[in-house]
Amino acid sequence: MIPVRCFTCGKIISLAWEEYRERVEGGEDAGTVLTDLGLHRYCCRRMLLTHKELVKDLNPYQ
Amino acid sequence: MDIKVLELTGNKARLVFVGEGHTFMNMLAEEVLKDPAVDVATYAMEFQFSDPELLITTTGKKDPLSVLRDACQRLIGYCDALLESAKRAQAQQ
Amino acid sequence: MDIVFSRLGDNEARFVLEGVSDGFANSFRRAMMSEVPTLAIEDVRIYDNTSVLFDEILASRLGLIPIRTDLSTYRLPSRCECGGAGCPRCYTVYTLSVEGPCMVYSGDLVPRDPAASPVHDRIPILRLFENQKLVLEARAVLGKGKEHSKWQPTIACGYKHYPVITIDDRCDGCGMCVDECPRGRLANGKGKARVIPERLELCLLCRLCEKACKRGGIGSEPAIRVDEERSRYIFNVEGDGSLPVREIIKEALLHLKESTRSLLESLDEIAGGTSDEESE
Repeated sequence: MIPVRCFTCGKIISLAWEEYRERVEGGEDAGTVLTDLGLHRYCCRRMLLTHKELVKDLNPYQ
Repeated sequence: MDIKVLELTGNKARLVFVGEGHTFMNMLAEEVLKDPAVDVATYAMEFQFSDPELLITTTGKKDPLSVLRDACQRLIGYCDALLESAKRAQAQQ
Repeated sequence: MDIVFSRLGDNEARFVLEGVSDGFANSFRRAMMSEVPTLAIEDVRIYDNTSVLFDEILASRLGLIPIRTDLSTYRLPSRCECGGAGCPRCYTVYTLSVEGPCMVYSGDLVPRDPAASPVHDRIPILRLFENQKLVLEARAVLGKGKEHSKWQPTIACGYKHYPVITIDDRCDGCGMCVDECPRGRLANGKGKARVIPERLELCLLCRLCEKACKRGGIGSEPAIRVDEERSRYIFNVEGDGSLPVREIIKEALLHLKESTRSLLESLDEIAGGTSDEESE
């Protein structure tokens, strides 16, 4: 799951995650999407940029 | 505020401020130092979460407690002035 | 001694603080971050959790959700009349009951006190799959940022000295400092670089312009100088939404005032004990 807040500054970044993923999968440039979503600091940007969603992969091993 | 007096003479005081941290001590020590009658005003915290110990020595014209009290009065004055000015600025917005 | 706002919204503020010392400015910043209380979920009673996340991770995620805080309704448990035992004035309860498959959002938390609802409704808490279930009860209390960052009302909160940029007569208008400035606060004009006044506050005090100037072969002293103005600060405060920024500023100043006042009282007691001081 995407962390609720940015580890460094504490901004609520999880709000932007779903839209970010949809738009990036739709072929948009990750950088522009992040700026669009109001994530200007690089600490917040790396949170989304480097996130890998694993819950779906974990589910069968419950 | 809980204060322990370790040493108190005419021109020297060592006080422990129980439960305070850098937020208050830094401001206080700096303000005390502005007094021309003060020789040394500094605080030390042995460990990250231990209680800070304030050391004040004066040149002898004033005793350390009244120096401390004057500094407090000034700090309260600053806070009041800023509260007032913040209120005014927000009213204008 | 003055505060001048250049921007003041509910969740962010930018202001110039004038006429105070370094120590006071820093104490003010620290007070805003760690001495202003907000609500955050502290205890979670989990009745059923068959999701992929462990209970602990789930509780940690719940804690980080910002909650709208009305400081006139709630008290810190340590300062409450009930002595921290728990009463309606020092905590509020949320319930959550969801069955999968779906995404659980912060908006699914049902607050007992509607005024203390989560700031955002669309924070994903966890994903539930087929036949998974989550039933829990959470209790939010007031706390301070120095104890845990979930109680911090601010996100980014910092200050810098006010920049003073002087460009002397030796400037030949080569424009190298203009190109170098990452914040675009300089411009070329009449054979000499000049500062764009409305961009001055953006200056990072990085002094790249000084270095660029020296590279232009002007000598060992650059023609452009960046200095910091003493006792004038640019503050940048961002709130997480639990409290409006103007309230954070007010509460921080009140906290500083209150601690100083309580020190004065203690000093009076000490003076009374040794009786060589006149009491005020």
